[in-house]
Amino acid sequence: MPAILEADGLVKKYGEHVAVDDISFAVEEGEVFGLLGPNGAGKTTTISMLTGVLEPTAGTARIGGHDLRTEPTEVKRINGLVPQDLALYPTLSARANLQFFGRIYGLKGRDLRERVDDVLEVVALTERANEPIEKYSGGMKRRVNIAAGLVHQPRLLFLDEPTVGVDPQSRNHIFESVMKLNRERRMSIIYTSHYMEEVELLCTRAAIVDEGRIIALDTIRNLIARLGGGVIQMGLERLDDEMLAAMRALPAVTAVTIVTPQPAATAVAAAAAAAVTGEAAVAGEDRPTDAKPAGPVVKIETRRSQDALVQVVGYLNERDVGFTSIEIFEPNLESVFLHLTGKKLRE
Amino acid sequence: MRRLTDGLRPTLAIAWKELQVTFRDRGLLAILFLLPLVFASLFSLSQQAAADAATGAVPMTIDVFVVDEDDGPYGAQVSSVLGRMSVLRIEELATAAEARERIGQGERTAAVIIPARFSDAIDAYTPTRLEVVVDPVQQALGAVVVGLANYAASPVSTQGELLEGTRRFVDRSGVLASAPPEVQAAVEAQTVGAIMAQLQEMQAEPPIRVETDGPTSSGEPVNLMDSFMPAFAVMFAFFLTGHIGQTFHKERDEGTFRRLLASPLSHASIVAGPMVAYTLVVVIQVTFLFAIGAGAFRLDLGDSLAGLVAVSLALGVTVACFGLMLGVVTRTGRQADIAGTLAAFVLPFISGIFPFGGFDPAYLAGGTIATIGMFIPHMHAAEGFRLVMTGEGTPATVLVQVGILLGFAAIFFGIASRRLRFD
Ligand SMILES: Nc1ncnc2c1ncn2[C@@H]1O[C@H](COP(=O)(O)OP(=O)(O)OP(=O)(O)O)[C@@H](O)[C@H]1O
Ligand SMILES: [Mg+2]
Repeated sequence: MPAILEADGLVKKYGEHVAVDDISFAVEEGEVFGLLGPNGAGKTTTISMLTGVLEPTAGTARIGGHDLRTEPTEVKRINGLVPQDLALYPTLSARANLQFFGRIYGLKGRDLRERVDDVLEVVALTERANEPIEKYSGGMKRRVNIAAGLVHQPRLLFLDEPTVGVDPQSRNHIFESVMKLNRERRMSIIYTSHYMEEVELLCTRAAIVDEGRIIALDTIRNLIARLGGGVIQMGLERLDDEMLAAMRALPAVTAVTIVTPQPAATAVAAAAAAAVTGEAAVAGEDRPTDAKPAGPVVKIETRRSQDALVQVVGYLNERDVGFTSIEIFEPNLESVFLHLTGKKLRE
Repeated sequence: MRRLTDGLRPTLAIAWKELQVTFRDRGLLAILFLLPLVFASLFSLSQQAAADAATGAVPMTIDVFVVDEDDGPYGAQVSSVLGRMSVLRIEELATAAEARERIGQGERTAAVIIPARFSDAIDAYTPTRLEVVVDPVQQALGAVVVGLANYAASPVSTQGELLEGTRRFVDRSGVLASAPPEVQAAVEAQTVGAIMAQLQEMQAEPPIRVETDGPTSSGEPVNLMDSFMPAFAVMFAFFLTGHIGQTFHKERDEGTFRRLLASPLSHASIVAGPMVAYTLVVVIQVTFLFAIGAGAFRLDLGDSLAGLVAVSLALGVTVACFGLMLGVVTRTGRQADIAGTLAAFVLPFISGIFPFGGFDPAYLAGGTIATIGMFIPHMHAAEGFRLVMTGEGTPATVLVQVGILLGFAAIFFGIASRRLRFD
């Protein structure tokens, strides 16, 4: 299949800060391609460059055979953009908004009317199309936001977290529309999301982005297969080299790495106090790399998480070492992500 | 041709969207249309009264003759209502002929003549009218007398509301907060008078016949509205700039700007669209103010419609481009709004478009203020209007001002479209 998009060494610098650092990837025609990454990874910046919103500091891309730098107008006609934030005129109706976004792509007359009616139907808002958007619910606004990127029938649609902050019902609806657009209209889609289950379901392939770089790019299946048998993340009362070696030697364990090292004596005391009051469990739900006053945290990669858990807990009992938190990540994109970046997707 | 209209289409699409958004903003509409009207009328009426006070004897009053040729109750009622109005200083005369003659000599501003058999006519439901004879030198105040006479002669319901509305506005706006009560009362009555005069003119069968009388040699009638209305129109046109700048930031903050940049629109269209829209808003605003000015306050618009249109368009383009530039060079919408409001308040005064003391705009006197004014678009717009309205200008001199305005606009546009970017 021919590539609809080939990004080639894209870089974006904000002063000294490198937001996107040499990103290259290709998306095939008709594909739904995921861009995954934690907050600030550079997803939106990448999309902005590909859609002509931002000028790349270096690198370029070919979209539909046209070069982003030398033929921006052609590229922009192929692209459709659904920005991460609601990008609509709140005092205007959905219809007026969509008409406007159609007109700036040169649509007019009957064509325009038909296209607007069509996308209103796609997002199921025909009935309330003439009300000002500010009177809509959050989910409905999101749907109009998507529709606005579709009016001119793009071949390549960029969806930047289209379901963020949306109720489950609207989310399902958005989700179905996207699948339909891809299947029935063969629209190629680049999809960013923090919701791994969406990406697992929607995308054929995904790139995992962290700190402006692509750290993995493969089919979803291959990405998950890389990890093997799940990851256990565990907060411990204490940790020493002997314990580390012993845990690594357990049969179901493939690797043990330290996420948060042994803190100073006062921090340990605080962590112990926290453990007593149950706060550690809360802390455990947070980003593990955050320097919370907790004990050492280890990441245990396993062949099979249940087996490994039994063995590790058994060992810790033997040594009389308590644990302050346990989290188990079954092999899915989320744990792949954690494995690759040491970060959770959602913070 | 086809390619040209296709090229213009996106610009017009943006302009149309901008107009839709603007005309849904009630607060903005009030600032653009209502506020200048109220300001201009209050300001010019109080100035007029002050100017008359400086030359006349008693401050803030209008001298009128009242002639009651009617012997019935209605005539007496009208003259007693007029008598109770604090702004009017009344001298009763016996005959209309005497009143006409003395108005002709410029003794008083106006004479209200209640015709013989006025009461009989009213009782018999036959049409009758009051007559107001106005000294042409004092037409603006004369109009106030006409309005007050109208007020005195007709049922009070609507007028009562009008008076109440005016009073509440004056209280709330604080325009006259520091003025002494008699000045406040006078301005209030005069505003009502002016509005009533307008109502009277709009009636098919007006209850008052207005006769402008007197020697033509007594000089040009002076109407301060002529000097204030253009200045106010220019000043309030620039109130749009803060809004334009803010809209630009809103567009960027709310992400719709991303969509514009991601579309095949050129940067020029992105700037030109709002420019077209806001030029139109200014033209509508100026037309509205001048129409009301001419209708209610006898503002003299001169006789060149083409000239008015040319200056209004040039003003509109300049305002639009100034606003866009504000949007591009400021960092936040709030900054743009503050800068725009500041510019709207300060620039009119340092450019000398308002009269300081006399009747002519200050820049006409030359000196520093005129030199500063040269570098401020306000002055050129106000001068353009003045040249057209007074008939002093020729097509060439008006076009010079229009050209200078367009020069300003081009500079602002250049800065705006050059510095327009997203990050
Ligand atoms: N205008 C800007 N000026 C300076 N830095 C910026 C600017 N926009 C983004 N950045 C930085 O670039 C990096 C990438 O941001 P980007 O918005 O692309 O992340 P993201 O992956 O989309 O994150 P999220 O999931 O939170 O949307 C961040 O570190 C961000 O702070
Ligand atoms: Mg983002």
